Amino acid sequence: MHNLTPAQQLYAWRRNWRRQALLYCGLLAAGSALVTGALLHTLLHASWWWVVPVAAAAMGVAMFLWPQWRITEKDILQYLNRQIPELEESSELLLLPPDSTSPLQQLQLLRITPVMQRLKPVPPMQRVLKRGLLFFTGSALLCLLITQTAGKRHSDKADTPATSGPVVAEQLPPGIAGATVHIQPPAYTGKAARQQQWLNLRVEEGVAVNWRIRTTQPVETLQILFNDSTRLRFRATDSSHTQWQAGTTLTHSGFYRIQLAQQLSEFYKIESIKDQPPAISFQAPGPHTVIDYGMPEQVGIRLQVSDDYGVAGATIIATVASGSGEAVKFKEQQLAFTNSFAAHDTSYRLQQLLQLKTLQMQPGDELYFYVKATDTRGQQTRSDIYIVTLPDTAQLMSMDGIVSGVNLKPEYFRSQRQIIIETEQLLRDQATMSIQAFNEKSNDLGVDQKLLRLRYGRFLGEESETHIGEERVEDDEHGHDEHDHDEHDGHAHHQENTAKDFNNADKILDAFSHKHDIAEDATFFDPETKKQLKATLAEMWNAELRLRTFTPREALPYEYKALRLLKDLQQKSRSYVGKTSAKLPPLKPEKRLTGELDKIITPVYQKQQTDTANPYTTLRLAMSLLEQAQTGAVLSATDNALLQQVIPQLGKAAAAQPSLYLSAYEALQRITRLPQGGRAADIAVTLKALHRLTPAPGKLPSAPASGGMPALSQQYFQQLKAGKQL
Amino acid sequence: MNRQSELIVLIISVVIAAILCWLEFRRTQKRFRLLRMTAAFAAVAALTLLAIPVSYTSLSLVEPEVVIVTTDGVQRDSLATFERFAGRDVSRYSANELWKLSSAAHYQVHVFGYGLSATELERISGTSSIVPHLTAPSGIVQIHWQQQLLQGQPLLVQGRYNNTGTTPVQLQLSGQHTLLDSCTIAAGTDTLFQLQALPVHKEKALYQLTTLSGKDTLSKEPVPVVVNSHTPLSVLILAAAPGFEYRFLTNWLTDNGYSIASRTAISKNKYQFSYANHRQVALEQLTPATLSQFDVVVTDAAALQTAAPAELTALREQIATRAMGMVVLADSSKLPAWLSTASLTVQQAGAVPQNLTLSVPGTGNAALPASLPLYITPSAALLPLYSDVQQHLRVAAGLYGAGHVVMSTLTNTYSWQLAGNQQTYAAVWSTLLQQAARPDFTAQQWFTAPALPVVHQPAVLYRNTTDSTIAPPLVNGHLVAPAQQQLLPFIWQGSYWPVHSGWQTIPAANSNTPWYAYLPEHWKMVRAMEKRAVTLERAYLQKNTSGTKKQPAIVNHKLPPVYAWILLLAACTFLWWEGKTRYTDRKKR
Repeated sequence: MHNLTPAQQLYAWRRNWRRQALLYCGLLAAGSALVTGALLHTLLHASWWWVVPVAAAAMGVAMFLWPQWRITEKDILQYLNRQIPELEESSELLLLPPDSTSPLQQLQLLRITPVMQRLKPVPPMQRVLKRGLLFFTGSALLCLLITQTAGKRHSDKADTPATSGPVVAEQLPPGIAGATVHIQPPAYTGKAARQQQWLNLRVEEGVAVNWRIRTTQPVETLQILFNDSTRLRFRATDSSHTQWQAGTTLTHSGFYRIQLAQQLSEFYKIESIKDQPPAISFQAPGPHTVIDYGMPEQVGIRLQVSDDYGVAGATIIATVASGSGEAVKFKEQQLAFTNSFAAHDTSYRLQQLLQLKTLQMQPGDELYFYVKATDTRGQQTRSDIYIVTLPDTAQLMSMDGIVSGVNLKPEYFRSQRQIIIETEQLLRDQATMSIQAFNEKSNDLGVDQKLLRLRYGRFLGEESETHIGEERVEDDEHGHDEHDHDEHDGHAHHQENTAKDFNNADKILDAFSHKHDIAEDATFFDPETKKQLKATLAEMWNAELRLRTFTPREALPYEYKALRLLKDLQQKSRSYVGKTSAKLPPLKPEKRLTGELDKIITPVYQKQQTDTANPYTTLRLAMSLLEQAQTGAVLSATDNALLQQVIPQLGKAAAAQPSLYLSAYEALQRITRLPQGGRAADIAVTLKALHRLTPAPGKLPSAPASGGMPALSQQYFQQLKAGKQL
Repeated sequence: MNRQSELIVLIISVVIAAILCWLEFRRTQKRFRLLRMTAAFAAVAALTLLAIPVSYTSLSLVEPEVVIVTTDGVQRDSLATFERFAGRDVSRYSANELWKLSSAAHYQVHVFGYGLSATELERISGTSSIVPHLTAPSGIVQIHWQQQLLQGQPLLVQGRYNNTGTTPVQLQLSGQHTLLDSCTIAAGTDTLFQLQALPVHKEKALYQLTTLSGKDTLSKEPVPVVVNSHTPLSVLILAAAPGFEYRFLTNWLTDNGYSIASRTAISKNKYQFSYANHRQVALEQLTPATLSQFDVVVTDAAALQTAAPAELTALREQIATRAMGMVVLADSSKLPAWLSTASLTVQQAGAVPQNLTLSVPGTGNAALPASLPLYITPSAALLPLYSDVQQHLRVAAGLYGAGHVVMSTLTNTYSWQLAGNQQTYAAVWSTLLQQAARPDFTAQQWFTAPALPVVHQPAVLYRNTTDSTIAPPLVNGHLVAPAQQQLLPFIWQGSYWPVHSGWQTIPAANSNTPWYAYLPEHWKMVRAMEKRAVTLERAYLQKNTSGTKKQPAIVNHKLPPVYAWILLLAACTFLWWEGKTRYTDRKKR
């Protein structure tokens, strides 16, 4: 350093300081490029290679903003002049060539040259470089931070499961490069064709399936073996025998495997989604409807028909039964719904109003109808049969079948008929009567109805009116006119005033109180009869209301309904015995009623039940054997034979429900083939499936364990017996 | 100091004492000669005493020595606290080191951990006292299940769980890799639990009882179960009139392989015989020989009333002495008087047939059509089997001699078969027949003690039999010769140490009794609970003995060296004083 001339020194400084300036720009550029690159990588998932052009751009910007890298000797000389006052502002002299200097300049040079050697300027880039280094480390840390946090966020998001494809990865058999399955659902389902790359199928019933397989090498034969022992041969579509195709229709569940030359693949399942027949749900009417007198002769039908693919049509099949006894005539007709089913929707709401007149129904006839629905596949469903009865009021009023049997309450029954007859008569005479007389007659009928209701009500223990002070009134005057209305009201007979009733508080209260329902007075009916009787009373009350409010025409339907219910009630207690046509041997009067039994042969029956083996016993024993194999025990030949018996049962279950039992079927086959009993995973899968397949055993009695019945207990028992008389 | 060096020291001290005494004797000045000789001798003797300590024995009362015995599950902090509190150096032993305790000495044994087992407690002498500082085991502390089940019988695992953690714990019972039942134990509780499952397998199977806390599995314990097939019964039916009840019962039993013979009265002295899976035997007159072929007799009240006296005697004798069973379908309240000795009496509550609903555990309530309301009078001597929902007893079992008599007032259980309710029918009739059936005396049954035997630990196998000619069994190929117990000669027991965990078999004449040997890590807390119980019992019982008081013992006392020092000091002081005052006399003169 000391041997350098000033010029050389200057050159050296220029070189160094320029490098330092470039380094400073480089640090700045690198730092900012790192941060930018990290942000780009985490937010926009850009590759890390983007750091390079960003760094170049940042370098360009930094070199533009901090041009210290461009310093010349002149700048250095100016810097020196400022830094070292001893140079006396004459540092430019140092660069002049020595032979072109004037004496003054040489003098000055002599003065400043030792200064140069003695004093060195403060390097201008030190502080700036330190800042640059700090900036670079800071941005490097920031870049690390960004990448770390981004990494953590990414790992959280990666836990979401994949949504497409089968959950269990299925393996294509060796030798097959790729497989495509084209699935064409039947036309009536209206579903589009689809294709899939995996071989486990979940398809509609009756679907047309086409397999297109690409093998790695040319093969001679390729076929599919189904679980019902049918085979499907593939046909080569090109001359190199690597592209194969086969197609068939699948109608039920099962499983299959692909045979490539002599190699068999694993089992692939076929799950067949059955086309369900259409479902009919009725909202109205109920199972049994009765059109009473006065109600409009129509039935409103409301139902909903739904199917999984489409409803093709629905009709009502109605049968009218007319006549009675043995001369019943049936007439069947088909009625169409007003809706059109051409659209083949999956669900229809249907409404229809059946006019009984158009069906030619007379009073006394019954209508039975049901709805038949067809789906697009042709499957039909029938609904339940619904009955509509149109009662014959003339028949109601007749006394057929009533006088012959013993009945509970004939006179009351006639009263209801009488009320109906009188109401109809009143209505016929309405035109010829004055309004006052009409109202009075109507009121009288209402009172009759009320009495009838109260008489029936007595059987249920309901309220019975007494007139307050009736006792005393009757003592004074035995007016039988009032008795027509008031007799048998509540009390079965008159209660005489006797001396011993002097202190009888109840009796006094009875005269002045109004008793409501007395449950103890109720006759013992079973709940059904009680309900019907209550309904009858309700109808009677409705009739009474309308009669008393002078509208007998409106009262008539209720009266008829009450009569119908009463008739039902009365006929309920009848029992019907069917006529038998058994031919019995003729009786021998000389043997009859003698009581000799010696000719009767003692009957002896012998039965041997040979087939008591439960089909599930092998499954139950197999579970125990597999558990032992799980702990490492070796299965003997007999154990293996038992497991072999289980395989066909599992196969049947796998054909019906392949998703549940197919893996177990395969696993059990592997277990029986290996002498050691198989892998733990296979055994676990088989055990689970067997547990699911086997139903719970029924309880059976067995001899209880005795624990040995030791001699001591027996001796004790003998001693007890000797001591106590049994 | 051994004897040799002691002898040398003694000889040396004798020699030195002799020399000193002689020197004192030889001194010209005769003042205090005797005392001086004594002092010299005393000094040398004191020095000898210092070198050879003297000890003597005496009989005195001593406090028992405090020792600490640590077992599994010791809590470090309570042990450290105790050791600090105990102060002096207390010796600590583990459960395997109990042989180090002397059998003659008296100890106060402080037990830490779960406790000592019975065999370990025997190592501690009866005069030592035990102070327990036991930790309560946490986890499954008690467990029970019936290892031998019949087909159709549910597996019931019951136990107690002590949850000392802060999170709830889930117990799961699984079998054949399928979850069967589970329950949750709340945090900080000590509760009973019950898990139930219906085994569908036959023979041996291993269930698992897993304890989960959140996602962690705390323990996985094996629950071995053996499901035995039913032994077929032979049933005799004596009916007073043909009925649907007997018809359906016969059909059900025949379809399941049981052998039935039945005699139905169709008229006066006229019977109808039917045999199903049974050869034809004469049932006109019931003799003891005929009856001994059958395990159960199903009959009704009327048949018992109208049976011949000789038949009744034979029947009663078979039940009372040969343990045959009887099922009586009481359709009326008129029963023979001898049934009341079995405490079976029936009362009729009204003449109107009423519907009844029977509460059948396991399958819910089952309705039956109307029948006469006959109730069995409850009694302490009766085993109630089924009651209806109004708590009236309908089916009960009583003892008659060696046999059981089951009385049932249900006369129309066939309606369950008609309704398709096979499960209830099977459950009820299985109970009735099994309760009454004659026990199987020929089957050999082995029991193990302890109930959960562990590998490499002794398991005692014992059986009850009066037949001493049975060959000793082979357990896993090893001969185990059972020894007859002296006081109870029908109990034979042998010992076997299982080597491998898992199912062990004892092949026997007509049964192959399997039992299970566990690994030491299975059911740890259950065994810890047993140890705890045994230790606490021992600690409690000894309260009445004198274990905590001071015991007389021969104790070695050492003569404290301070006496020798005092003697030495005295002798030296005298000699010094004598030396100091030796020439003062001359001065005085």
